Amino acid sequence: MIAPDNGRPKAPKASRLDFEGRAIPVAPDDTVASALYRAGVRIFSRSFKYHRRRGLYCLTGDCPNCLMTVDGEPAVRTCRTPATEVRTVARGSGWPSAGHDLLSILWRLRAFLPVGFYYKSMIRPRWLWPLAERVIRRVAGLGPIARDLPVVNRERLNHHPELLVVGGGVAGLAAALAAAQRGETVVLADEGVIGEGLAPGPARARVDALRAQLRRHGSITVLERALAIGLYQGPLVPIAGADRLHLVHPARIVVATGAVESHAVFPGSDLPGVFLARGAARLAGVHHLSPGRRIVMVATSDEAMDHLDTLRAQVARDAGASVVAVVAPRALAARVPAGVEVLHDGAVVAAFGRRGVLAGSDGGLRAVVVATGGGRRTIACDALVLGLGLEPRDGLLRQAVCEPVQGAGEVVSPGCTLAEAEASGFAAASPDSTIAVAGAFVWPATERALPPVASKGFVCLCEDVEAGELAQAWDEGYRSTELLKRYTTVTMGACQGALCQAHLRAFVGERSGGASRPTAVVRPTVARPPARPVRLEDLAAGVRVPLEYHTALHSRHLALGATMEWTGAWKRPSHYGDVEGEYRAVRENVSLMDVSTLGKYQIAGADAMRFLERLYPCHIADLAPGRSRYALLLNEAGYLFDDGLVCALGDDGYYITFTSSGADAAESWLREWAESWGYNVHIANLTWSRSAIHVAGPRTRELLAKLTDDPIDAAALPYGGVSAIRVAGIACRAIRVGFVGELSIELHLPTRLAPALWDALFAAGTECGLRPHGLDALKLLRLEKGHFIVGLDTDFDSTPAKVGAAWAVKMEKPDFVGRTALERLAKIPRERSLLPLSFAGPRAPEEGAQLFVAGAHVGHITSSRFSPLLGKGVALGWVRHPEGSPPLAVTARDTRGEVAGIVTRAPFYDPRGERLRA
Amino acid sequence: MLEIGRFCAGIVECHASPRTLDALKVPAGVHRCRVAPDELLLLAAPSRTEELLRRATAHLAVVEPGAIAVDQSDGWTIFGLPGRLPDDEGMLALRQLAMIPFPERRPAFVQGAVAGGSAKLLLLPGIVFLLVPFALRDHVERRLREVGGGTLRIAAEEIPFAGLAAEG
Repeated sequence: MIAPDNGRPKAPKASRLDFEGRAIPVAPDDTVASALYRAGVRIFSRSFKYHRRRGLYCLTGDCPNCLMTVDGEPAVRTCRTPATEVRTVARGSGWPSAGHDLLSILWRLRAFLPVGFYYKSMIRPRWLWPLAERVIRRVAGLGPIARDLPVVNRERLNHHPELLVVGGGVAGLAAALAAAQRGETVVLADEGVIGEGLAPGPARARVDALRAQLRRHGSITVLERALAIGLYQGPLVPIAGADRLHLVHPARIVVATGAVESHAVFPGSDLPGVFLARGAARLAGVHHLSPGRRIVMVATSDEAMDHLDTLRAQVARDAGASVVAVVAPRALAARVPAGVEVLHDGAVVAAFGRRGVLAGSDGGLRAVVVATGGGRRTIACDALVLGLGLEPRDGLLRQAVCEPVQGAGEVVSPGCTLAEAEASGFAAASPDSTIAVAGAFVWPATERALPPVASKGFVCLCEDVEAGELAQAWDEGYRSTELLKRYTTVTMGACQGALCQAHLRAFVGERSGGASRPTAVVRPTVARPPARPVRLEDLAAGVRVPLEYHTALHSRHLALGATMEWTGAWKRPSHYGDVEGEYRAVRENVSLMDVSTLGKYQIAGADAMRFLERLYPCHIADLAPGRSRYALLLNEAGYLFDDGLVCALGDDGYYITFTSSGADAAESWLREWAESWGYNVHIANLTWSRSAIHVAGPRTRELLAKLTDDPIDAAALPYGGVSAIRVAGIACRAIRVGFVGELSIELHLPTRLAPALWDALFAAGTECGLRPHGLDALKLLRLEKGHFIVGLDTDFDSTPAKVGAAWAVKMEKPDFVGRTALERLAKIPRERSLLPLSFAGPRAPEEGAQLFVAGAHVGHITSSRFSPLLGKGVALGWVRHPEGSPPLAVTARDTRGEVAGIVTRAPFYDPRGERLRA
Repeated sequence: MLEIGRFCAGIVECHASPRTLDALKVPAGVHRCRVAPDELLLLAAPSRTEELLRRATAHLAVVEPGAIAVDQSDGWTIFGLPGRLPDDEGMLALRQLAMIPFPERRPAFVQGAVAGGSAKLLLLPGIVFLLVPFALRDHVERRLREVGGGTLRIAAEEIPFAGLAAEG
């Protein structure tokens, strides 16, 4: 059961698509790119920086030329996108349109826009840069992101195969089959549909045959149209599928991502009409489209000659189309059919486009200049097909550091034969094959010849980096592949160096030593994820939903109309619609609060008392069974990070609580110290299995007396007391607490019984004026008592003394966590304290208000509320007092003005504690 | 349609030294889930909770005073997902929510994150019991429904966890 794509709605298979207002017919096997090309579209995009016209080039998903906005999604590789699944297509950039782009003037202004110009210009005046940045961001790029796209909720699917194969060519299929035949589980991922991009021929036939074998193995999971994003430690390879993100956790990985045709760098090599040979063959052999009417081809390998055959078969069906010339080495010339002019051992040195773009021309190719031993020839043509060799598509492979990864096929041996690719796939799939080891991974292409260094032309099509710009950057001192990459952004575009890496290395090799430093030793730039552009929705797949804890009473809160808020991972009621009413219920009658979110632990074992005594800064040994004590949690630096209660249970050890959001950290702290000291203690986390309901208010006993026969008077259950009682027939641990400053009892009970107890208390409490209270009321109630909340009022470096809780630290104890640090800190004058502040008048300052003394800033307010009973604002605030004594008066400045206040003493309410001890 | 059941179980958590826990014998029908060397989860029908707690407490009191057994039945919500093979519906739902590798052997017990929260999984022939903290019951249910995309039904009522052969 895999859920259907629960994000973007899928359109039914379409027979036409909308391209910038034009209806374009679509054939069943069309990609968006082939459908547009058939309809006469030649300019597919505008380049990143200079807005040069760009047409189809590689058709293998490597170059940026066919990136378009598809159904609102920018930068989609249209040469890999099935046209029948698309409704609207538009070119991403260009003003007023990509076809007639006035911004192409930037090419003529390039002398003013050298590489890194934005680092060096617009420094003064400083206000200019934000404006310039806005203009640059608008002018450059691949198109705006649509803001009205539907939210896509993508899910993950985890796989744990023994082998992951990335790439569904001959080598990849062979690797998958070899592993499956050994009985291993295999995941095979390919960017497209396996074999679909190959023109008919031996490679296609072999892929089809292997694919047929693949289907017979149930242990192979095939992921098609699935992009391997990166190779992470684990190993983990996230693969973006059509409708979900696959997280593959394999034991071994075979990367068989193949090779990409070598990119050519010469003036005009980026013109529409210039194709790489595999792309042109795909256009002809798969989509039955001729790349032009007059085609010139450069073929330097047998494979390129195969592509020539494919092209000729297509043009033979296409009246008026022809291959007019082939530039080939003499060794291959015999494969050029009669009737086609052959230029031996030549090289294309320039290409020219048609002028008059604004007059309606597509600006495509009109002629190429070929240099041969006999001089230069200009040949009129509208398509140039370049079969100059192959470069490994190794962006993923090079991400391997110490993962068990093996390359297979063309990614390690570009241009290898089908038989060699298959053999290499079989070998790579073996568990015994060599694996990449940290620092020892040898990039296979280091022994390959690098392309000649050009002085003109675009090295990087993605980022519009010219050969001359590399030279300029070199002259400015950026003299390595990595520095050039960062300064010029070469290799940082959509292709991630697939096309330009070899040229960059060749350039650095030549500049950094020439003959004395062969270009082959220049390492490529570091490869990092993503290997292919990835959508944000894929990165968010499966993790967009935050963890959300609900107490057993969650539905009760919602039924009572509670507004919920986050407290750590918990959802808790802020209020039930009437904060003051809730507050008054506590002060005047009785109220309930769900405190099930508290961390709750039982500590037992022979060393339990010794352990807690050494852990906490308060005394534990003198805590009699049936008594509890407030305790701070300090780290080794003496800083406060949580607080809670310690309840002595007698033979059962201790029951301790932590704050709702601090429980996880506190548990780790407990376990770390228990292990580190080697004490015989057992720590049971009862947070999930025990709920807790806080009953507070002067009528608490009156309420509970209706539901229990157990004694709950001050003698039986005094302040700080702990006892086992039954309430409404439910066994509870009752703890007398005092956070809100009234008679309060926490009832801790089995979680699934909490709703029953809540209901019983509600039913019985009607006559007592019972109502629940939420966090908003709690924050005022505790503030009136001057109690801080760890995390809200405290900082990372809050010591007990700073927050006025030195009384909870017993320095006479020989040892506890943080004692040494507190001893040292005690010798340093305290210059900052959390102080109780009182504000007379009709309002309390806002939380976060800044505090001033005689105009000098001294601190800020962490908690602040107006107390209805006291008729004044009460607050806690951090105040600096380097002179020693804290100031007597402060001024709070917030968004509404200034409020005068005084530094006072807490508690503000019931200072003698008579009510909570009642 | 994938039917996911809800179960209530008697769950007793024992904290003691590894040797003590190794020596703890449990009656038939009780699943021993070793959470950590010094922590053991016993899973049985809810009707057997008290008996289990009593037996465990008695054993610990004799063998290792200070060790504890606590009733954690209320701390967990249990979902039962049918399936054994990785591509069975129930397993597929889990694979969308968990990075944990699921062993093919049965019975098996694994722990890890499911839907971002801590979880334990008891894998028995034909069914996987997913134990998540009670506080995560709504969250996990929501995530199961989301990955199910309308092809999944989760039982509204809990039924007692019982009737499955256990490994002692």
